[in-house]
Amino acid sequence: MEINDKEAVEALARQYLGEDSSPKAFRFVSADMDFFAVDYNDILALGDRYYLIRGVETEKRFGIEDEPKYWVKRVVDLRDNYVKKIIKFCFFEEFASHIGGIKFKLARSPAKEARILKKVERHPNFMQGRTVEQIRGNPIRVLDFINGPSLYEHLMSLRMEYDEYFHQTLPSLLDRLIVCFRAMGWLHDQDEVHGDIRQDHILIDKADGLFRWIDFDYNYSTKGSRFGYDMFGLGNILAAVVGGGSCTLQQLKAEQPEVLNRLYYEDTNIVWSNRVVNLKKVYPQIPEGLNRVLMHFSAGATVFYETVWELLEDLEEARADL
Amino acid sequence: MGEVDPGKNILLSIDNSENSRRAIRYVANIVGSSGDYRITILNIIEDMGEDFFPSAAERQTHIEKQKQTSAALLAEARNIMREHAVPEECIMTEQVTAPSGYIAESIIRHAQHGNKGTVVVGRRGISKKEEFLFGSVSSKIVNYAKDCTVWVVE
Repeated sequence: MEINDKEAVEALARQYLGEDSSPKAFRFVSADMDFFAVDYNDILALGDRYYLIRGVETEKRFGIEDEPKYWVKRVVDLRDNYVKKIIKFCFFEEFASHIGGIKFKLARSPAKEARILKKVERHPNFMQGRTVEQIRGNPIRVLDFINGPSLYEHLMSLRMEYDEYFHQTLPSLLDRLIVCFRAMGWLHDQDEVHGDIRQDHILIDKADGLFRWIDFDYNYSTKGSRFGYDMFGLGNILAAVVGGGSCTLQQLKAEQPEVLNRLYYEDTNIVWSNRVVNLKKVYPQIPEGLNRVLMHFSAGATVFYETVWELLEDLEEARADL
Repeated sequence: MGEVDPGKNILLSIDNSENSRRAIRYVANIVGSSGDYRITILNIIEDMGEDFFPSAAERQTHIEKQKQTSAALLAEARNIMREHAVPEECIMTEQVTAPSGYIAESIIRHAQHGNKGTVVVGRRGISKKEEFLFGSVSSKIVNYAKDCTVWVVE
C-alpha cells in the first residue's frame, strides 16, 4: 500500500492506538531534528517508512533505577503491519573506563556495529538491523525488536529452590547458552569482539526460545589478549546461569551465613571478589566437571581460557555429565 | 657483516615504558663492544583500528603521531646502545604496525622470520586480573615463542 499522505499515516496511527488513546494531532518528525527530543506518540519519517514512537529503551543497571537511553526509541512500523522495531541514533564516543581498579579505553563505535550487523546478517543468535540514513555523519539504524526478557531478567524471575532449578531448568538453559557461546566463538573467529558481554545483553526470544546477542557497538583497548575481556563476560554469564543468578557474599551473609565459613578468596571471581565462583561450595549438587569450568574464572585460577572454543570443550563435556 | 650465531641474533622489542628502557640497558650491558651480536630493536605501533576514531582522517593522524613517537623511541634506544659502546653496525631498528591484541604474535613472527635466536622484552608486572582481562605481551611470548630464548627484563 502506498502511503504518502499525512492523513493516511495518522489514520494508521489512530487505528493502532485506538481513538481514545490517540492525541488530537500527531507530531511528524524527521531524524534530522533533535533525535533525543523525538517523543512518545511522535511519527518519525525515515526513508520510505513511518514509525510511531512508543517509548525509549532503558539501560538496566543491576539493582539501580533504569536509565533512559534517549538515542534509542521503541517504535512500530506503520507501513508494515505495526511490526515492532528499535530505532537507534548512533554516535561515536571514546571514554576511559575501569574494572577491578584497572583503567582501560572503551569506544562506542557506529563503524563497529555496522560491520558486525553485516557479518551476522541472518545469524539466529544475533540481533538484526540495518542502517537507513546518515544524519550529520551519525547513522540511524533500524533494528528488529526481539520480544522477550534478557537472560538477567529471566534468572531474576525464577522463583524456585536451587535443587528444583538444578534439575528442571538448568539443563535446558545450559543447552541454549552453549549455542549462544558458540555464536560468540564464531564472532571471535571473524576477528571481532562483542565488547560488552553481560547477562542483559542476551535476550531470550519468546518466539523460539533462542538466546540472541544484542548491543555489540563497544570495543575495548587491549595489547596482549584480543578476547580476554569478552571471555570474562562469558564466565560471569556462565556463573550466573549455573547459580540461578549471580551469587554474592552479601547474599550468602543474609541467606546462608554458614556457607561463608567455607569460602576463601580463591573461590571468588578473579575481578569482582564479592562474587562466588566456586559454586559447588554453595550448591553441592553441582558436578565437579562443571565447577572446574567455573573455577577458570576464579581468583585462584592459574590457567585461563584463551578462546571460546577452549571454554566450550570443557563446558560441553560437563553438560553431558549433568 | 657476516652470519651471526642465532643465539647472538637478538630481537629487542621496546615500547615507551621504563621497564623497556631497563631492557635496552640490560642488552647493551650484555652485548657491550664485542661486535659478535646483531641487535634488532623493534617497536610495534599499535593499530587500534577504525573503532576508536570518529573518522578515517583522525585515525590516520593518530597513526602518523605514533610513527613519530616510535622513531624517537628507536633513536633513544640506539643512543643507549652507543653509550654502552655497542658497534653501530651491530644495531638495526625497525618499526612495525600490528593490530591491538596481537602485539605478542607480531613480535614472535618477527623473531621467526628473522631467525632471531633471542627475544628480549621488558615486563611491567601486572596483576593476575589484568593479565586475565587484557593479557600480558611478555607472558604470551614466553608461552608461545618457539626455537629461541626469551629474556624478560623487569
